[in-house]
Amino acid sequence: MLHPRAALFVAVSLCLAATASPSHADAGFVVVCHATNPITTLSSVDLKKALTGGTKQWANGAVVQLGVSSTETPELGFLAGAAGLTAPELLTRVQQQVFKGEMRRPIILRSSAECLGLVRMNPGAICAAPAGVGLPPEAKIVVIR
Amino acid sequence: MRIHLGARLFASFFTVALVGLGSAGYLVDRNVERAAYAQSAALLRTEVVMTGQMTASALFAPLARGDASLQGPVRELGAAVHTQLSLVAPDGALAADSEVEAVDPLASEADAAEVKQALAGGSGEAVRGVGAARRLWVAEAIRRDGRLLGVSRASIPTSTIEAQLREVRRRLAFGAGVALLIAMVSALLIAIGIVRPVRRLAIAARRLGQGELGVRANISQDDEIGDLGRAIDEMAVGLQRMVSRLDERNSDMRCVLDSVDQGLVTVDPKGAISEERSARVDLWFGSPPSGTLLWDLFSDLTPDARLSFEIGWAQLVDDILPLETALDQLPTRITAGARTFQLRYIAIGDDPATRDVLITITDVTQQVAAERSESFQRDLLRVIERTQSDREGVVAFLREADVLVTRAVTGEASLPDARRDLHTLKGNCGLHGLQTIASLCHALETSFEENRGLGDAERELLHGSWSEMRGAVQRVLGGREDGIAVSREQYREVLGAALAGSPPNVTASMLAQWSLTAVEPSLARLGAAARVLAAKLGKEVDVSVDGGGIRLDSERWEGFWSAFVHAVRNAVDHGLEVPEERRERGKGATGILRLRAVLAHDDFAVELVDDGRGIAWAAIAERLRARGHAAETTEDLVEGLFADGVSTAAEVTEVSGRGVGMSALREAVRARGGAIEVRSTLNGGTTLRCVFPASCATVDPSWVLEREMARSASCRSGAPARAVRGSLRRAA
Repeated sequence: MLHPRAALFVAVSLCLAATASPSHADAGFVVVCHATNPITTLSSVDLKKALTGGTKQWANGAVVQLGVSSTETPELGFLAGAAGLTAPELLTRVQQQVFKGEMRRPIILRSSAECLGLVRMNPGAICAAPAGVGLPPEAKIVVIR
Repeated sequence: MRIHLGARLFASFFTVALVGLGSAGYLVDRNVERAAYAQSAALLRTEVVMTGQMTASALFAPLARGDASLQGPVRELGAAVHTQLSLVAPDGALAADSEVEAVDPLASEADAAEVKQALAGGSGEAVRGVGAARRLWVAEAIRRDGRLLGVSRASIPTSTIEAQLREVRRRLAFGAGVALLIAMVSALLIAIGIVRPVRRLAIAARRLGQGELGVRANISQDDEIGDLGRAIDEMAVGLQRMVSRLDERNSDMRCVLDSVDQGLVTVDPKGAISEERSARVDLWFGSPPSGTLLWDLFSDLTPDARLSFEIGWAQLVDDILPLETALDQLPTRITAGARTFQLRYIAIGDDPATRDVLITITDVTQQVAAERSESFQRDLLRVIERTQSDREGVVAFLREADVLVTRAVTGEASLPDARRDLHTLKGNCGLHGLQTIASLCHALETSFEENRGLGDAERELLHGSWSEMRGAVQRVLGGREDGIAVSREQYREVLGAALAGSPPNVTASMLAQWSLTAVEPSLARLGAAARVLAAKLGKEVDVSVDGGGIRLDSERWEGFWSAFVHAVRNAVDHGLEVPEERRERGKGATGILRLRAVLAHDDFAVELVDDGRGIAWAAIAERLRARGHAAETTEDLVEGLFADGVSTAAEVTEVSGRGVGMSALREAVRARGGAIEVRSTLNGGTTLRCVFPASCATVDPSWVLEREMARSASCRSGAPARAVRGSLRRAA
């Protein structure tokens, strides 16, 4: 059972996020992470670092685990755009970083459900999901500034 | 070409070391090369696998043509590990290559052997390229979850491996050089170690061979050479003992050689005597130096005897004749000075070129003298026996023999006469049992023919031998040689005639007959000789003698009987056959020989008849033609039968064969005014008649008296008692 104050906090946050990044929200996708992840917002640069191996751990010590599709999907395009990259650039940078051992191999996602499942199970996971999807309690939306 | 043992040993050891090192080096080099390539390949494979794992981890999908997303990291990684790394798509397209800035999107490695192998079997390896571009390539397939994502590949230039190999080879070569040097030194030391004692052994053996039996090799090493050295030392000790024993035996042998009463000496193939010989050789021949020829040992050796030695020795060395025959050809009895030696030859060895001959020389001087004395005594005994039965015949023989010997010794007669005299003397001596003189005459005949006469020594020998025999016989006769033997019948006959008042001439004739000799004993003597000769020749003969009661003046006829003996000997030797031959010819085994004297009105004849094979007229003709005589008519052949030197005998024997006897008979017959008649048929026998005028068989009593007076005078003065010749006819 979600605490009323918490629910209120989430609603307020979503509203703030919507107002702060109207373009991303407009696309209909959000960046999702584990609920225990202390981050709530990420700049475009920080997101790029998190997606390409620049950030290897979150503040709570969880290891960053990217979840992406291997082909160009809207979610991949949203995520690359949020990081200031195109989808191929993101995949290439990810392949190169994995080859170099700078980051974990991303989890290949075939659907939004798999993104939510990944977040629910992995405290360090980060992926993109449709904005209207019902988030499980273990997931939360990260606002991209 | 002489190659030193040390050099050969060194070369052998060095060659073995060189071959060993070379083989080992070759094998090591090959293994090192393989190992180097294998090691490099293993290293590359590790890198390839690692790269493949990294790539598999990074890729979201299989590598595809134009996907150069990993070009950067691969280039960085290749630079880090100093290896060319590349990624190849499953279709062979080159996806990344650490050696290039950017991958050619059209580049394809589908034909590369290592890529093919990796795509087909998971891994591949190849060496490709030429010269500086030659590289070792290793490839591994990149799979994830069983899905082929591409091929990871790594390569390095083979020059890198070769550089490592060169270093290894340099070290190997250095090691091999050091090993070779050690091998050379070892080979040298081994060779010296073998050669040095071998040299010492050779020197020791050479000195041993030179007779230094005290020398020792003194090899102390404990190996086969040491065994050889000890064996040589033991051999030297053994040789010393053996030589010592030989010295002792030589000493013993020297004692034997000094004590033996025979001359023992070995002679080499050149005929030279050796130094080792018995003391008798030095005693008899005056210590001849070693190398003296055998025939030079004997002083006063006749040229013929020396020639016999030389020819016989040459035959022995030539080895053409069988050894025994060649030895038999050598002289066995030699007279040197006053000594006579018997020689016996024993060959030592089989090779005629090196074969020595041991000669045993025995002094048989006394033995020869004894034999001669024995022969002399036997002859004398035979003459004594004959004297008992035929004293007149013996006396007549002695008288005639005196004449023959005197003519032979003084050389009065011509050569043909002298030859006949010698032959007649031989026949008469044989007839009267004087074999010693007969044999001497035979030997002198041989010498006579060879030398055309007798030498002084031979004459002296004949004279001495005859004088010795003559003196002995004279002593037996007791000086009654010159008397007249009268039988009681003859004595009574003359006494009766005188008392009966017979005329003086009749009584004189009867008395004159006392000095005549009956023919029959002479014929009987010839018959006895024929029997003896026939027995000697293995023939059987029946001899009949008929003197016809005829008596002849012995002094006038004694030469005839001496010559007639040749006809008798010829008849037995050539005419009569041996029993087997006679039987084959249909005759009795015993031959017949008739000796007869016949006195007719006109002539007096002495006949010799045999039933033998007859005269071989064809052979006589052939001999005559060969000597250039006529042989066309019967007269030619008969004449030739009595020619000097003509004989049908195949060889000369002591009995006949010289062609002298019949010639002597003809001369004897002619000297008495007679002639010889011959009738002979092949296989039918031969009749030989010596025919004389009847007057030859008569004698005048007054001549007898005159001769007796002359003989009496000669006895007083010493003149020859042959001045008066005549013949008496036996009173009817």
